[in-house]
Amino acid sequence: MASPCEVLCETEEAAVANHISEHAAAEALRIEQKYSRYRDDSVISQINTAHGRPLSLDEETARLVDYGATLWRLSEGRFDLTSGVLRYAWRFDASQPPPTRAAVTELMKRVGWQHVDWKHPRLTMPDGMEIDLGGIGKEYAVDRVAEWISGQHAVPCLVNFGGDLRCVGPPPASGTWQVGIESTTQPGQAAGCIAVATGALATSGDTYRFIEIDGKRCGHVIDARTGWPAPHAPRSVTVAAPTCTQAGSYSTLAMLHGADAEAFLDAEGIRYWCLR
Amino acid sequence: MQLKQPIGASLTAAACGLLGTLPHVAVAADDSDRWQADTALFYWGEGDGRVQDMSLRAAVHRALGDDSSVDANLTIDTLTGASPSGAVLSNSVQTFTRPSGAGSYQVPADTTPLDDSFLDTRVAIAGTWQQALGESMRWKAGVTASGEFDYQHYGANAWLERDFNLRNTTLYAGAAIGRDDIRPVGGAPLPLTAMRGVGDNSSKLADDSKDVLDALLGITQILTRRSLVEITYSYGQSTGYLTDPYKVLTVVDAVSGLPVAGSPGSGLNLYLYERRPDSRTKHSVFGEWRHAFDRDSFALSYRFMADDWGIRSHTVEGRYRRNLRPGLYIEPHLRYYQQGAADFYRTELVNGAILPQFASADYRLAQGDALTAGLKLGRPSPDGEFSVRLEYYRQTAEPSAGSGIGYLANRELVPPLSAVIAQFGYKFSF
Amino acid sequence: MTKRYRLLRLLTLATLLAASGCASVGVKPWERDLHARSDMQPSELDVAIDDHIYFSKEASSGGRGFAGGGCGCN
Repeated sequence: MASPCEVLCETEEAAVANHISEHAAAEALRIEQKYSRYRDDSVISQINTAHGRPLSLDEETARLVDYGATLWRLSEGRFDLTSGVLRYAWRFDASQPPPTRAAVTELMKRVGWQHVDWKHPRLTMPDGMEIDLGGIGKEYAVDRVAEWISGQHAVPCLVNFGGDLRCVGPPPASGTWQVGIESTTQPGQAAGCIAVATGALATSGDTYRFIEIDGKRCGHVIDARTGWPAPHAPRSVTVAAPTCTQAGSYSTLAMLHGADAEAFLDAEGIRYWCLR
Repeated sequence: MQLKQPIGASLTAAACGLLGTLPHVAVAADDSDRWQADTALFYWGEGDGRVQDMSLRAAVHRALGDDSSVDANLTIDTLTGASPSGAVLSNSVQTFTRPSGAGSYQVPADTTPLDDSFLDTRVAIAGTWQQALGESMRWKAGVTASGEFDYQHYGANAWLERDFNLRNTTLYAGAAIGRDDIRPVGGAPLPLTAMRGVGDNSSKLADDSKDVLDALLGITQILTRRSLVEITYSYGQSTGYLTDPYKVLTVVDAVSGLPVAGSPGSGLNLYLYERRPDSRTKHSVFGEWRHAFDRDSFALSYRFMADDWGIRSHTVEGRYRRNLRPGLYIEPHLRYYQQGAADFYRTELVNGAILPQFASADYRLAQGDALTAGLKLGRPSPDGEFSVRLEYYRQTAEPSAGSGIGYLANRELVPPLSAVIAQFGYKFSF
Repeated sequence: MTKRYRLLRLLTLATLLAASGCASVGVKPWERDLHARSDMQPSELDVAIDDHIYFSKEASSGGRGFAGGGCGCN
């Protein structure tokens, strides 16, 4: 998951807390390993080395691909599961210079969901294209763990995987979980505090992974239609929604809307916090 | 470029397809409450007709932006009841002139004299501003003021703290100055002069004042995931009128131990108004260890104080918080205090002996000890935390060395103090 | 009396210096969960109330912080 993952439970029984944390850790690890780019035995690696052969995906992967395809449609192509290859140009290491236009244009030949033949559960992808579920995998893991907890145990919990979180009931004493929004000017400090009783929160931002182009800081959310980050994107967007998957999608799409992030979120009628 | 229509419904359907189920509860997420308030109704009741205090306190805290905050608090105290005047008991009725000089009161034989002239209301306010300076430093500045019928205080304070070592260590330093104006009822008496009869104000001056400086230096250190310690060194300096204008000492006969006659025509025994030095320097060291268990926690502290009046004191205090369940806790509390007498503490003065430069019979300057035992019950809930605190305080003091001549021998010259504390608290945010 | 003050001051300074020299003592930021618990911070209001009572009934005051505003408590 590339970030600290934790589950906060309010329970008097150590056995329950242990059971929950063991399952949460196992589930997070399972999803990470299944969709890791860095493991040869992962499902993603198998898909990305199919070299044009049709593949029949398992139920879970098929649903994730369905979701990614829907996001591609709803975002008019800004969000694209096949945009992962752009990481070869975009390192998002502040010490590296931004990629050249030529490098990006070259890679854009391998980007575009419209080139993919997807008929649930059969996936046929042209040779040279790759799928990356990094944009939705973490939030999906949070939702899976949260749903398991509410089914198995009725304890108030907060599942938090690196800032993408979901509540399973409010804590009985105070009534809300207190979540800090990280300051964009002083990493490690809170810029504000959100009190959440039910629902999920997800954040997209440029605080840690960013690059400077022409002196302006750009986040790591790339618009798949252009191959470049959306201009004038907010520094950080935090969204509240019923599930972490939805919250994550809203925050990613808001970043992709650049200068219109707030207008987009206002039109959706959801609660958000935008830092510029 | 904007999307043509909201995608909410489609996204919800898509999420449902991915996850299989969607939660039935609505999202409840909003900005955290920015105001925090802590209020308490407090009662202190001593036995035997002595002091009773009822007080109301309210403190509010408001976070402003991400690096500053403001605090304000208000205290209203109403005091009634009597407190020892410093005179000792006698085998016959004693008459005393009230501090105002406009009346007198009588005390039966074999009873420690208590002066009930203090019915007073006190109002105190304080305001503090806190500001972060960069990532690891914070400063605070505040003002305080309080007023009673015969006493007014104004003060200012400043505080600086800095974190080190991944915020495991915090060093802090603070200083406070204050100016107190004392306007005793009837005027401040000339020290070590005799109490006059009703209407005779010849021994009284007008008002006086004192200046106070406090400074402290300390460190908070996190030791382990469960423990931390806090050590503070404090320095205090008071200059000015430090005497209690209402307290006296009885002058007793060197053989009988009974009060000698007072100033001619006054009809009173000889009671001299006390006198304390006009400066006092205090040093204290305070240390506390706080430890968290998985559910409970406790705090244990010790304070040592030494001043240039000859007083040394030790205070040991412990609290154990037992969190029974998320919405209920109990917290037993125990405190033991021991102090030595001030150099000039005299339970009574002996007629014919050389008058000391300074003398006071205030039981609070005597050698003695005190024990507090109490229990607090708290109910945290989403609407706020209600708490009830009930404590018992028992203080005993020793007469000064050489005290207890004649009639006073084997009698309780400094009566013990027993008091009950009851406090109702409500802490909430909005 | 002056000697005792000197000893006291020396002891306090030494303790503070020793404590501040503990650069390796402590926990990682994610291990501070228990310290953030509300019962691990002293109740400021209770401390202020107690301090005020004991200032009025005993010869010592303060220690943890400032003694607060003055009072003509008899």
